Amino acid sequence: MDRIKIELDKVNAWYGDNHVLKDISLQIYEKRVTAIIGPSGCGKSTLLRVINRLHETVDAARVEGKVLLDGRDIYDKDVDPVDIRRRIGMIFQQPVAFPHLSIYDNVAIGLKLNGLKDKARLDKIVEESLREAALWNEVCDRLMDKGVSLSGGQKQRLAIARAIALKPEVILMDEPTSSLDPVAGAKVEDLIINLKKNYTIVLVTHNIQQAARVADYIAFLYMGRLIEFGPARRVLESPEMELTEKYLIGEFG
Amino acid sequence: MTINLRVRKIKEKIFFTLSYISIAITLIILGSVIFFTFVKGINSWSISFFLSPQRSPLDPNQGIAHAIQGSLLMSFLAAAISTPISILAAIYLSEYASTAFREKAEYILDAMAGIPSIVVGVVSYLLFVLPLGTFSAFAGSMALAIMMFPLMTRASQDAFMRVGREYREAGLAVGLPKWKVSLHIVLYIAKNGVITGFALAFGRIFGETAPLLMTALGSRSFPTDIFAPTSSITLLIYEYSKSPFETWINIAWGASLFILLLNLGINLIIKFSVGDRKWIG
Repeated sequence: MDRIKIELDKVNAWYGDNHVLKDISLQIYEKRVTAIIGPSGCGKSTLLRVINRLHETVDAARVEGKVLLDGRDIYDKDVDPVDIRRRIGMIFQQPVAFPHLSIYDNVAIGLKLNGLKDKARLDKIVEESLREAALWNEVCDRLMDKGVSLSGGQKQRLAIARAIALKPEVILMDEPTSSLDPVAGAKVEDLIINLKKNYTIVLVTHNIQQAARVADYIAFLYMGRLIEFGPARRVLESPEMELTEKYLIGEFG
Repeated sequence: MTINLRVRKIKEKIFFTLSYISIAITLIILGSVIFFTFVKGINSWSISFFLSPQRSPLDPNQGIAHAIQGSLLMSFLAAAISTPISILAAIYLSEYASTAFREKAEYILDAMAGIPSIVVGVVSYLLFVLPLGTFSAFAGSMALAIMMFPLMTRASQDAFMRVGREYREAGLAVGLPKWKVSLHIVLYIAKNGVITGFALAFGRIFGETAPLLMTALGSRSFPTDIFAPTSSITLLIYEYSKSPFETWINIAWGASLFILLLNLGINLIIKFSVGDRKWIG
């Protein structure tokens, strides 16, 4: 039996008057890939942003309900969202390389600005993170070049290295391959499969084939509601809900 | 039809000619300002012009060194006071303020930037000259800082707001508190815009006269005390150009040429050093 890492309990979220997530309850299992699928605008990205408390940084955004990380509600009054974001990393759809920073500093920024000064340790963590993100061989001889000099796929792996450097427990990925060409996207996909040995991964994707290739669990969202959730194979091969089946065979989306 | 077409073509031609003449007039006026200043001013340039202070009106070996020092002293002091406040204020407006507050603040800052500089001089006289009991470089700097503040705040705020939200989110996502995201990510990505704003505001205050008339007053010697009357290039031009002495009038032309070229120089440096803004998100 897989261990529950994160549990969402009746989560609701709003942007102003727009009610984007409705009563979502869902378990995310440790060191597994959970894919969140669904048509555009169904609330996939918001669900991800609720899990690392990034949602609330937008004006007029609001959350209700509980998100338990190892049994502890991250929305408790005495929980610092900054700590949560150190434990739960995030990768965005548009790969971000900070334009003012070198490749090295793009990876080290989280550690450096959180106070790690030991150069030898930084070097070691940057190298390990880049290796784990399958980028080391491509950049090891030009770590001091600007991060923006990388290609789109490399930038996305750089962003993954930046997240890994903080040794997070969970990595959230918001359509990490949708802005990449197929070859670069495939590399990132392989990486996701490797990363689940060490991390719990929540992957938002609109690509059902991708979900089939990498996910252990699948959650199907439609119009802000969780329609179906279960082991990936079961959801894909014999969906319980008619809506899920219609989505999977491409009737809408 | 043909008549209509003809009328239209004539209208087009008249409009074109008028706009052409207008730009020509503008350029000719600007060109003649530079030309006359150059012709009248270049003769007074000499080594002593740049190295010596004011002497008796008949002494040919005198210059504007004391005024250059005064201008640099007051402008840099003003910049040192105004820059950190402007940047922090701009960060507040761009990163923290509600839209309603930001719009009000922008309105006030834009209005502040348009206040006639003599009014800033009068206010600074009340705030910094009367209480201290003396005209001073300090009071002059404060007046210039007041002039500089809205210009630099708005320029920096615009630069910050051009930085894409994805950089802020990527910063937050690696567990950085918001103030570190503002200082270490947004400020750095926007730094060209901030530098441009600084240089333009600095060029502006460097050429100001009115705020200094009632604060720094002017002086005949090198500045030695920031709490004593101090000269500036513009104050010197103002004083000398009214004087009856030919030497001083010539020096005023020379000083005008100097400040004119300095301003053109600042603009050129900005243009060439921070021309590349492609990466601003």
